[in-house]
Amino acid sequence: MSAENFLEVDSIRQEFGGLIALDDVSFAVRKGEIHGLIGPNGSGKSTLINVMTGIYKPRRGTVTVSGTKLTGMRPDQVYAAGIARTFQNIRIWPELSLFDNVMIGAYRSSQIRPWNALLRVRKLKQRVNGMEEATLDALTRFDLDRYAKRPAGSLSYGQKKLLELARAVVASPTLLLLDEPAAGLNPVEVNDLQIRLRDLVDGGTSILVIEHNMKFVMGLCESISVLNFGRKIMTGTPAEVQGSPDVIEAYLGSTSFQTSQKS
Amino acid sequence: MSKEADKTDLLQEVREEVRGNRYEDTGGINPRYSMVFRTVSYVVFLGGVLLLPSLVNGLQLRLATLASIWFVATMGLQVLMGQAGLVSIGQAAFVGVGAYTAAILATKHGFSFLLTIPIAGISGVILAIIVGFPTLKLRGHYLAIASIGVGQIVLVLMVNWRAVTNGMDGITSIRRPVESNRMYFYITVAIGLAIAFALYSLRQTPVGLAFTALRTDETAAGAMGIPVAWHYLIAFMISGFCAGVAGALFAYNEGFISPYGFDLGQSILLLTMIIIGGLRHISGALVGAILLVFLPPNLEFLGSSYMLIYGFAVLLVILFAPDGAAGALLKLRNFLLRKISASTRKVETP
Amino acid sequence: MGIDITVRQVQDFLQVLTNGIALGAIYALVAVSFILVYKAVGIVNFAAGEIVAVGGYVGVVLANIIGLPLIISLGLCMIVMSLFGYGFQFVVYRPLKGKSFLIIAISTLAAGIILANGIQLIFGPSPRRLDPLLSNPTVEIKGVFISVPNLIIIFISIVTLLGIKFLFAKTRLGFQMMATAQDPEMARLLGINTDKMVSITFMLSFAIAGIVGFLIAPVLYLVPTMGLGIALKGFAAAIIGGFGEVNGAIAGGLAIGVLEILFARYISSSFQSLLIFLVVLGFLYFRPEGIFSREIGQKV
Repeated sequence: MSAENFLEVDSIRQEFGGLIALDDVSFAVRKGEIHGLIGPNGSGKSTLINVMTGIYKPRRGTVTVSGTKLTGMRPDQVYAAGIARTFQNIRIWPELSLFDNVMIGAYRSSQIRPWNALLRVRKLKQRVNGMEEATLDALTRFDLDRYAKRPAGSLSYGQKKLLELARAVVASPTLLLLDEPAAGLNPVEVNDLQIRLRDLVDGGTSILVIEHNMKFVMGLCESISVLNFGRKIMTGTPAEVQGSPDVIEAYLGSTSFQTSQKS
Repeated sequence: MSKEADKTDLLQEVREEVRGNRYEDTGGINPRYSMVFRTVSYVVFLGGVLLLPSLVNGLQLRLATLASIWFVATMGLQVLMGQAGLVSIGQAAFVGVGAYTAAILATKHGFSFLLTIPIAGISGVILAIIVGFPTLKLRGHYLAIASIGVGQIVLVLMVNWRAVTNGMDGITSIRRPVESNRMYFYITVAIGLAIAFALYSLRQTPVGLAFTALRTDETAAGAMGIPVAWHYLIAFMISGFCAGVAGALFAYNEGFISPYGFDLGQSILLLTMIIIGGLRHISGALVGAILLVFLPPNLEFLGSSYMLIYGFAVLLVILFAPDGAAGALLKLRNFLLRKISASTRKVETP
Repeated sequence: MGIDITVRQVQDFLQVLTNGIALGAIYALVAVSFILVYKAVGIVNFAAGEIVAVGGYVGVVLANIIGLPLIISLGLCMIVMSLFGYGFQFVVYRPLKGKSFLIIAISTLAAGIILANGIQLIFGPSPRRLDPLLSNPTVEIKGVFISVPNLIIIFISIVTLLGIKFLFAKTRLGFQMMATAQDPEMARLLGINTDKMVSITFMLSFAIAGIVGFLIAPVLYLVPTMGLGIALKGFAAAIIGGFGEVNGAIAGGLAIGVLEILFARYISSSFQSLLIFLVVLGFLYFRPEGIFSREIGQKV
């Protein structure tokens, strides 16, 4: 693989009780690229993100981001290495305010810890101020600042998805892993999301996005990897992927490909 | 330029309200009133503490001292259970380790009170590390189970490791730093309030937010950069420290300790205190300790089965009012302040 | 060193070993009883020991106070306990669905406190014992004296464990219970009545606890506060066995029982629970996945 690759996933293998969830999956993402990860349900996409973020330990293989090996790290260490994610089924803290939800994402880089929080009051104040400013900036970026004080559970579905994104970018990660960010959004929201993600990429963030909405993926991503039954079928440009008979075959039987293309 | 100013204003406004609402609902309350109420209640509380020894008889003062000792131990459980969401059914073991540490250092090695108290706290921390380090990397229920085991083990050691603990005979003639009951009561309250102040301040920092995050969604908290196992371990260490200090205070107060005071029944009593007092609030530890220390004389009709009532009380509170007595009191206070705020607002702007 | 071993010592060792196996069989049953519920609904039942105690007292009532024959008492005890299990789930499982671990743990703990003190209120704090086997007869096999109650314990435990194995390996009901435990949503889609499966799991778990209570009643004295010690050994067996594996729990229970008895006989009886705890702690440090290592994948 070439030296300009930013994220490298190298022969990742994962099994659950004899079932092979990921079978030697490899691909690479360049810096500042939006890379799509598609495949039918159960093809191992979310599992791969869980492996990349340290929630699962893979049987074999490595994930590196600009030379730093992520495999073997705990989830919080992966986050500290500049990789943030969203979840397929939204995981926010519904009882906390939007502000607190996002502020939690700024905790790691604030260097505030239980053992130093009470020691140097002035420094603590500075750090908390820094966290709060970053939090408001992230909320503003996704037009959520007016709801900052509300409990997150009171938001609409689309807004919750935006909140997850705001939380993911608060610590200015270099790589974003998005698990179906467009699922459940209406066409207007999908368009809006596309613009926001492009904006993030223009700011230097790289993005790996899992998505079922083919129109969204094809319009957004520069390159796409396709998974089927835990195996990577191909990596290519949207045009190459759409023209590949292997990919079409993988989606045969499950109609999601055609229907999503129409929508 | 004005946009920058707008942002600063918004930040200021959001920050104040979000901080105030983090652990209780203060919506619709004039901040000035809650400040006044707070000041008045602190003055009343401190005045009450200072006057108490003159107002009550010897037995009641003894109970009040015990309540403030259990307040310290229960605060540890508040951090562990109420803030970090872990369960410990062995808090009395940590109290016991603190008590024996203090008793042995004081009687055999002539350590002073000012030294033994923090060392007893540290002994609790060390026990917490030994037990918590392997278990907390796994899942929550391992700690709960291990905590019962620790309770048993500490008890076995107290009874059988005679060379150090003097077995069932216990350790006698632990001398208090002050003779008078009144002064010792003041000392325990002062230590209790100092720890309460520290824990309250800690919870006001983003650390409190981190605990809330991992209590309610451990996976999301880890994915958002919070070192989950480390924070659990620290909550457990804080809990151990409080218990150790409480144990030392207890040993000095009684002048005599034996394995009896540190069994599972005592652990369950401490747990009952924090559940009934209110898990979500540090003040719940105080309310719970006072309630359960002063309550038992009225439960004698049940004989040795009085714990039956505790069992039912814990079950009912955890199912139907998980914020406990302190939560109810705070809700009442906020309700009244909200009413007052609303009525005065009407007068000012007709 | 080994040269001086006499026949007497070997006989003594074998006797002690049988005692250990009998005790281990008890622990294995306790562990299996609460692992069934843990696997089915994800609840660690901190009242598990008290439920065994209830089983023992039910046995005392049936066999001693009413005076029914032992075998009928055992059967009735299992029926009573499974009804108890059916009712129990409506107090500490169904109302708690979706609640945090803390709330569920505290509720089961409170249920345990209520049971222990309820027993004390009814039967008083003094020890009770199942009379019929008090004479403690022994059989002699080549100079090794083995107590009959221990043999009965081992026999009934084996029958029970084989029954459970058969249930899950060969029967449709067992398959449905297992499917419910592994993936309730999928089980529902397959047309399995998951509520019913959970009820049956609770009943089975409590019936096993009833067997345990009945088995130990003639050997150990029953006291209202006995639950904790039993539960702790059951938990220890479960941890050694990998927390959630039935085979592991059986192995863990036997290991603990044998270790405990051998340690008490040859080293020190004061520190035997210290040993068990150190073993458990050792497992947690070095082998948290239990004796039979297997990767545990959690769902996110």
